[in-house]
Amino acid sequence: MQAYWLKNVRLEKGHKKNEGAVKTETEITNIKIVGDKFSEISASDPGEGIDCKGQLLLPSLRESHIHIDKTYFGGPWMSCAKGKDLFGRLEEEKTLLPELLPAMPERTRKIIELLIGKGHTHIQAQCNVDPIIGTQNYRCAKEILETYTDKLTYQLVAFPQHGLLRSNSLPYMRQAMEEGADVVGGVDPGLLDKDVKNSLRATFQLAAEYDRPVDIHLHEQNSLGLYSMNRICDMTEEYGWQGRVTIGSAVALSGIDPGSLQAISRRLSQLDITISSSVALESPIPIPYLDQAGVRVALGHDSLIDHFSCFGTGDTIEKLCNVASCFKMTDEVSLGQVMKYATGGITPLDADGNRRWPTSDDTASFMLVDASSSAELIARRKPITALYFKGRCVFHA
Amino acid sequence: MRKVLKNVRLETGFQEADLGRVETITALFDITVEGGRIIGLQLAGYAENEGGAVLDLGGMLALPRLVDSHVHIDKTYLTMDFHSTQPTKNIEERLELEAKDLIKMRDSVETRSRAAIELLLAKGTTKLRHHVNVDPYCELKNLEGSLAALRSFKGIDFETVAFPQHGLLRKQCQPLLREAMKMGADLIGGIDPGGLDKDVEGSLKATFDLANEFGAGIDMHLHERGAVGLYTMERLCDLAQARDMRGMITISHGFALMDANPAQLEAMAGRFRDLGIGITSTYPPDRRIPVEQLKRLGVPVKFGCDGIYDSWGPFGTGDVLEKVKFYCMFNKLSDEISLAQALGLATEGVTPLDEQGRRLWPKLGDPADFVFLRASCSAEVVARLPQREAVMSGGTMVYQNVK
Ligand SMILES: [Zn+2]
Ligand SMILES: [Zn+2]
Repeated sequence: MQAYWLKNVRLEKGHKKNEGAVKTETEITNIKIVGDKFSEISASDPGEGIDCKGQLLLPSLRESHIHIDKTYFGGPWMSCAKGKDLFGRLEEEKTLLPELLPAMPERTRKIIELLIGKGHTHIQAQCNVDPIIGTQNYRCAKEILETYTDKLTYQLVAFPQHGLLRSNSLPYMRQAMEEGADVVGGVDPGLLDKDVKNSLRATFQLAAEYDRPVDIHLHEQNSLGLYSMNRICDMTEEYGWQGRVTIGSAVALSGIDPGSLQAISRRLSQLDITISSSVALESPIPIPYLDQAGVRVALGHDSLIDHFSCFGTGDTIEKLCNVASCFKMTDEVSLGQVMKYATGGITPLDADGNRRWPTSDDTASFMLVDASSSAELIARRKPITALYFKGRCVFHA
Repeated sequence: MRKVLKNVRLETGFQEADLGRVETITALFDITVEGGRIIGLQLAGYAENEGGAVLDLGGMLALPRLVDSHVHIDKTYLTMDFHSTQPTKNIEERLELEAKDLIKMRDSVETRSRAAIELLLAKGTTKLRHHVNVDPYCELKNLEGSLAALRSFKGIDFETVAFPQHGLLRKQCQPLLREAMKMGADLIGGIDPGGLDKDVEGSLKATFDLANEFGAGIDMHLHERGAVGLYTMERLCDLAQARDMRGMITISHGFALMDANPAQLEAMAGRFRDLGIGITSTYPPDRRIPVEQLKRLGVPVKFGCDGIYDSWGPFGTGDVLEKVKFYCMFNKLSDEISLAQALGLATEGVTPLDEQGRRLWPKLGDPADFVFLRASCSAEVVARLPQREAVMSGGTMVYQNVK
């Protein structure tokens, strides 16, 4: 088992208050890694070790929703066709998916490499499964992700983009499950399948049959989206799927009235349903409110560049910065806490300034950054200089 | 001195592509530059060898110079230790905090401004309009420091707005503004005549009086929402008309335009157009003024970065193109032509092609101001924000990416 010291590493230590201003206090120390875990922190010189030169140690990042199959990323520039709705985009996939398949291995690899360079050690990846492409995208993604298991963990979602019922994708979804897909995906049971009840029933049935978590994209607006969300809650309860359900986008949570927001947040929290969001800055879902209400929120890029959209960067630090800016989280503590949306809830300090991470026995998946605090990292989008996964360096700048 | 820029990618038109998409056509050109201007423009390989230095751009795309039309370089915390933003209850408290900063930071204005300019330059900006605080706290120190910084850069064109951030009447800044104009400020600034000065008519009149005294234009921050914001715009138009200041006035932010109903917006935009009043937006996601309608109604709209990391907020990248990207994202403009046209918000309206794909830029005689990037077209640049590889201003390379 490997055992070594990281020397001169900067750790956040607490908050210092001074005339109404809060500053993050840090210390330069040494931290020992044994196997895939942190084991001890010691201020006295351990002798040999890797000199981190005062870089700040922070938890590594999680990308919670990204389509790694039908991408233009890494290929020639392509903008989107003008003025098409969801159905227009789906129509495009009939020719596009087979056309893109040959380039997929290289492009998927490029996305994964990008995400590693941006500090991620976990990816929840989405892959089309439908009558057009069958499970070919899934298989390709799986094969490639498997070559990165020394650098990250992943969950691959079989995603019936064309509507589980609408496109009769159930047999293909079943096949993906047989082939080992990690998560049963779903999408807009009302808008696409036009049958909220049966669409969700079929999704959860499949999940129960194969004992897999569920991840449903919900782009339905206001009351329809809210309705579907409530039915997802019902099913989560009925199937006993607490803690195993994610709702992606959940755009209906944006602009919702306070009463409904409170009610749905309570249900989401009670059922431990995660909301994953790419944070549409112009009509954001109320992330800080959800967090306060005990709902797990996770960030994802959704797409980097494809026939739906062309603006994704894969840079979660930038996304955190945008979240902070969007919700006016500009003070030291708020900025630092924003981090949790991209780390599965981990922040070095809690809101009161107590150190929560790293502790011995925490998995040593972390990044080193050129910043004086998490707050600075996020506000100033400072560079990541190294990434470690389970105690091993998997990237350095 | 003659210079030939070889293998420069320029946009030459649009063509239809599969799935109903549009693509930009480009070609490689050799551009001859002399006296800061373009004197030759030919397909690559066809330029006659007329001597002079040769610079091979290796197929990089050239775009027009980027213009940041609203930026504060004097107040930045760049070069200092990290400062997050101290929470305040209201604008008065925020201003008090800023006042302390201004006093504390009086002597580092030039250093900090220089860091801000370096950042802007690295993003391709070679022309900027900066608002510099003029108030009882920094007095003329911020003006002095930022001007010194700006003048130390070659190839940066700038306009300086003397900006009474703490309220023109509220802090009786007229004498200081007068001094500022004498020291080299170009425009009279202003801010929320109602919200801050609590005297819309008096504040506007004092602003216009100062401007007229120096024959200068005006660039006023108007953050006020709703009817009072619209009322202030009306009065500003009245004065612009009465004082015959066509084309000399800019409204920055103009958030109240979000609250105008369609008829009000059309009427207001009509007045702006007739009076040549421009709108500059920093396009925050939660306060998106109707840029598209304003443009359609003939109002010139420009973008700027606003504050780059100061006591008002810890964010800011100095990249005016990022604002353009946000504009496209928020308005779901992801098609080739919309993306390419949006570039104009960061170039004072200059785009390589018009909406029909006709070539507009560059032309013979244009200043040799370019941003060079590894990209295939403007649309890609707006959507993907690639690094700025090199920046030329008046025929001189003023920035080169070494990473
Ligand atoms: Zn998605
Ligand atoms: Zn401003």
